[in-house]
Amino acid sequence: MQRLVVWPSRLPAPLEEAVAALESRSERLTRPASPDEVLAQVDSGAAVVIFPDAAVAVGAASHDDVMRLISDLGAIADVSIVAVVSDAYLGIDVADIATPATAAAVISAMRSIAVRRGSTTRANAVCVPAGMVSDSGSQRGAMSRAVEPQHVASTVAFLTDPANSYISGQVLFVDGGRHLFSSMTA
Amino acid sequence: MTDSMRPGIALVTGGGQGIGAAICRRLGQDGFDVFVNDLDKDRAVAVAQGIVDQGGSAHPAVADVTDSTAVDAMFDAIEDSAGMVTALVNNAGVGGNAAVRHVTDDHWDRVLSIDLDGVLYCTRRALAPMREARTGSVVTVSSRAWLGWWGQSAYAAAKAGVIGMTRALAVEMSSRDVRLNVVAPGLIETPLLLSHDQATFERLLQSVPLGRVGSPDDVAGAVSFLVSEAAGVITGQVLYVCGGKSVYAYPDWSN
Repeated sequence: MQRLVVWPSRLPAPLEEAVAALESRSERLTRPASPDEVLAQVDSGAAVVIFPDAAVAVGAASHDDVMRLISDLGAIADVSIVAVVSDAYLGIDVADIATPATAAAVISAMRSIAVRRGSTTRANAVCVPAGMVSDSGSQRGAMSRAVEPQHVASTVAFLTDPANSYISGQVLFVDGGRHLFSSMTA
Repeated sequence: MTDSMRPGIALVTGGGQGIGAAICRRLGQDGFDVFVNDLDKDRAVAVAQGIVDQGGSAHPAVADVTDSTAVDAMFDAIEDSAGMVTALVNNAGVGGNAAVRHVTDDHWDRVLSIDLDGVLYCTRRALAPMREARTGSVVTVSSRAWLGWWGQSAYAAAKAGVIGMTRALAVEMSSRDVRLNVVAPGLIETPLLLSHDQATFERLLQSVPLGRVGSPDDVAGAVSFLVSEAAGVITGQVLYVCGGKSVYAYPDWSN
């Protein structure tokens, strides 16, 4: 079974539920507390799931800490990185400038890691409704169904699965179609 | 597997060979009752038989996707014999490598007819009962080439067309919880790709960040995810199966 390293160790309730759903699928899931501990636990063959803008929101790290961690993770061979970020960067939330900026930077970093020639490390992003990261507001998209934490977990599991190793540099919106109203997604 | 345990009824167009056949086999393993559409009856029968031999459930469904009357009749027959198609996979398509000076009216019409019109005919018919049932999923196989590549003007127009159609229909069907998505493969190990000479193949491979080609099973895995409950709130998206080539393709300018 694949080893899953999940960071940070404390998350807003909806994302904590998503991690719990991941935990029920994987017996080898760890929750290191700091970026240094993440790096100590990630080596070839591992999958690492990070929640960067949530980490900033809960005070686990600064924006700069997050970007340094991603940069270091990208340099490790044969790792599958999945970053789960808020969709606020599409321009949905005008009240908060900092969180969308981190999300956009993280997506850019994922693409840079994915496009390194000859690298075996994959990097993908999962974009969730902003309300899941701030634990507030609607978690519904255009669909009637609400976005549930298990949808986040099943998408992360799909992207980390070695069987899907030809997917890299992808941004997947787990959002009931909310992204469709933005030009940043086409 | 009893019928009540099945995830649903799948119809895969162009399922007789290559990526389409891999999708049929994967959905068969996932437990779907699979209808293998192809123009060529022998191919459809062979793929369906292969699924049955592995313990799955499958049937051939011969029809030309560019003939909307034949498409409607195919769906009617499936509904009469098995029930509503809950997962439509629009895979049937034709490549069209031609520099623009060679893009004749006939070339354009042929590529657009199969790769775009055919997708509308199948999707339109599939959505009618899905809308009423408030469930169902459509996946259309586009191509990373829609972003632009040499000699692909007609093909890219069609493959971009299905993405626009998918996004519009994803919005239109969202209140009904019917989902539509696109899978966009990059370089996949198919007879067409392997028919290139070694030098051309090597140059094409240079355009892929992961440095290798994908397999039809890689595409089938993405389709399997998108039609499943695991992707229950994913709609209107393009899932690239391209080894990172959609991010940046490292074009060989000396080409």
